[in-house]
Amino acid sequence: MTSTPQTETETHTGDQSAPATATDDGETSSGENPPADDRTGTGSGAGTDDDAGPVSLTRKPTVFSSGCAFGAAFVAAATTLFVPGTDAAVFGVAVLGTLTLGVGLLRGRPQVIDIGALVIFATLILAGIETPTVEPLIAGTVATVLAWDLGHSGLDLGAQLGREAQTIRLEIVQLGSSLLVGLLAGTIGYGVYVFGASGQPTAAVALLLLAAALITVGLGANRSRSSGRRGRGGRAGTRNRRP
Amino acid sequence: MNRRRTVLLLGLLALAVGIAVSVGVLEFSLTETAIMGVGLLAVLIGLRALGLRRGLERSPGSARAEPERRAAVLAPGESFSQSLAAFQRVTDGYAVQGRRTVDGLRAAVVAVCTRFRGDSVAEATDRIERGNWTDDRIAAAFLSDSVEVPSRSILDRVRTAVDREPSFQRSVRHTVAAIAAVGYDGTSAAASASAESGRGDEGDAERTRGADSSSDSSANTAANTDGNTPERSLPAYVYQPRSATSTDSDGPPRRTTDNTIDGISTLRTRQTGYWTGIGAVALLAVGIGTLAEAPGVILAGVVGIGYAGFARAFEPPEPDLAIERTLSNEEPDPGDEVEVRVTITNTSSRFVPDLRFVDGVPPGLAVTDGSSRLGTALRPGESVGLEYTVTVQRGKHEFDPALALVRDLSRSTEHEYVVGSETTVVCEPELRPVAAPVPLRTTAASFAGRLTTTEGGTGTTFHSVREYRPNDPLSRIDWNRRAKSGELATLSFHEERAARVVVLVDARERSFLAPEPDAAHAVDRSVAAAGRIAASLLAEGDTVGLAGIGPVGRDGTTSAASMSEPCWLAPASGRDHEIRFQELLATHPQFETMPPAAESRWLSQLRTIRRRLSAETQIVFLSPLCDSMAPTIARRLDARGHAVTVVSPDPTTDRTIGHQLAATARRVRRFDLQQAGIPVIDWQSTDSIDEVFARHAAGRGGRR
Repeated sequence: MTSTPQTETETHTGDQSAPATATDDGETSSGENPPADDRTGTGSGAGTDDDAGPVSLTRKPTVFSSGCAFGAAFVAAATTLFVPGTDAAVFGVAVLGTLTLGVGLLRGRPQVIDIGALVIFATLILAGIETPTVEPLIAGTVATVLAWDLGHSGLDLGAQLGREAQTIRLEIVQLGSSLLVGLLAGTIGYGVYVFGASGQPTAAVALLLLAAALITVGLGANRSRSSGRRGRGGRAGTRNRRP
Repeated sequence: MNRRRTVLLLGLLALAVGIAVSVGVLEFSLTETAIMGVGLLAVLIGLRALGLRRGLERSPGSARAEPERRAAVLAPGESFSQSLAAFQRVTDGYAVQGRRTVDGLRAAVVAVCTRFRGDSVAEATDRIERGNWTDDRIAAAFLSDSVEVPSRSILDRVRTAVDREPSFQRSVRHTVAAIAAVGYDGTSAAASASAESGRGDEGDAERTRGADSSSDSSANTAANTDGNTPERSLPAYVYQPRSATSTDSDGPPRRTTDNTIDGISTLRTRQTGYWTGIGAVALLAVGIGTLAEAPGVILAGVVGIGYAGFARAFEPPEPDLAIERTLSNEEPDPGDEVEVRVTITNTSSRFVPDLRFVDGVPPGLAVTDGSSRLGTALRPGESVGLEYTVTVQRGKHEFDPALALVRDLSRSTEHEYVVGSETTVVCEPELRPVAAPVPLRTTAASFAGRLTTTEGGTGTTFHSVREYRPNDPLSRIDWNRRAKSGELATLSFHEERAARVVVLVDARERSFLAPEPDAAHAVDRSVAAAGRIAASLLAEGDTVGLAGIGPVGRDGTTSAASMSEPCWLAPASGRDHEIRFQELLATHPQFETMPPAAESRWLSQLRTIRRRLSAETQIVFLSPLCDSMAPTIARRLDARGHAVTVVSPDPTTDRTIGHQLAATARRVRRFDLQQAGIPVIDWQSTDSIDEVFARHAAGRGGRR
């Protein structure tokens, strides 16, 4: 009973501090949930219900991932400055993309995050199209993908577990794995570029890359589909026998 | 499948040619146009695949369930048509929608006017025709053809046009609000004051409630109020808001799974589509880079392709999870906070990189502090702890299987598992006597006790004086009169006897109603009140029994229902009996806090109860009176000579037209029962049972 006012005030202060997120965080957890359901339930129930108010599941993006995503987006935008011969305008657009991504995180809109990341990536391409330097572009791409990835994973986690749940371990593992993959891919690409492709004709490079892309698509799709089926069938067979 | 294979073959071919070219075996130089073509192709693929992402289904999967919250119950009158049907008698033939609404509302007006204004049916019908049953002109005009719709100001018209509310809906809202106001608005003589003793308080409560709701939704009200009735807030027009039959179809489910599960069991596997589109964007970059001959851009694309490969490289592990749940208190009192500690251990030998865990909090419990969800990664053999607090309500609560969502490292595939682990909390209702006397009727059994009856005899409260008869005890002779006039007279006192009471709880499926989806529903309140009533009666020396009416099993399986009998505990007294009473209230399947799946054949249960009741047994019937059969039960029992008192927890609310009409229907039912001589004690959801009984006792002048 003693915790009733406490929980109530907590939810209320939460609302006031983040008015932008409060309005339509229902979108986070897809259109299936009525957006204002939790809030109205606790709000109007406060007067009539003597029981301790149940905690409301906010379904907002998690703080750690959102913060990291925003940071990474900013880093990505900043790398455009390191590309020689970049306009200030390009950097400005990249910052705009970063802000868009931030708005997407705050309001829990996956599409907005997509757009923000795409804008940053586009500015990177724009900056790199006229120059032979590759290092800032690789770093920028890794940072962009990281921002996009963490933004979505924060959203996913928020939708599934809510902001209140302890998710920090999971988020660190995600951050680590994504960063590692990006660095690995970047290093391999850079290595091929420095040691292999320097003397090669463009045609060979283009062909090799196209081959890599096609093989990735073909192999990956094959694998994931067949594995999904195998796993499902096998497990269902064994598990269902149990009473 | 075939397409994938073609893609793969093409890829391998390109690889071979590329290697051949690069090592100089093959003199193959792509022309500018060919390179352009390849680039354009990549751009096209990229643009096409971008569209894929837009159509992506984003759902939290089974984590959409909200076991943290109590199982939701409906408020009475979720469906307007059903509320309306409560006023109609046998509908003869088909009626068009609009006509049916008007007819139903007219029937409702007749019902309230005959009850609360003392009109006859003919008078009430006449009032409707003349439109003087209410002050609300819109409502009056809606139900009568002879009354003209009041002309509205231009400002009103503009506002209505902006609101885009059809005038039919507006009229219905006005009419329902007007019907709900009949009997409260003092325009005519109120219905017989003797019939409803606590009405003054009630009206006040109703008004304050209305005021609250209007301040809550002040913006809404401001938009809705018309010049005619600025002081009254109108209910929202919701004709059929949700399917009134099932609570699960709307909103997230409140249970992780309905089945009981030992060990671990797979629910489903789904592709999250998490990385969808990254390969496309990467190809786009490669294409642009090839076209522009910019190595940096190509390499940026390569990084993207690396992620695309990552997304497809893994498969989620098959976890072997062990769950251990400990509670700080396994047998708490209602309202206590219990800390739940869950330990999740990865007993497999594989790393679980992404585990999302949702504990299966029982549907009757609500998490009030902390979170019952956890996101973590688990090394082999590692365990993590999760702590949260639940507030316990009366009943036997079994934890549902917990939900475990396992994704692979790249989060692109998700397996959903349910992990069973049995934990049970039994929370017995407190048997604390009510401060005010329980409102029983004045019939009693033939044993000495403390219920003051209407019969004269020995006792403490003065009843009457009668002529002396031989053998009257000396102590009861009126010696004052003897001294004055020399006549012998005998004083009679109110006979004090013990009552034999059966507390009958209405736990039919229709009674699982609450003003808010999460609030304590009427059956919960009834069962809690049953405990309190029994405790105070037992403390007074009365004998108390317990009976329930409603579905027994919750699973919907016939085996469970047939295995356990409906609750029956014959009236008795003593400590032993009290404990059995408490246990039954806590654990009997009929009184479970979880709403049942279907209605049972309660009529035969009622017959059995009637057969079991001995003569002179009183009945305290706890029912929300929200359907037409509840008063029937009270009347049937009363007709068999059992003195019935109805204690009715009020689950009604006034948010929508359906809600208001249902509340009015309940008021009519209460009134009818009162008229039939069955006292009804209305119990608002904001009051405690002590307050209600104290008010009732005060209204009856302190007599039991």
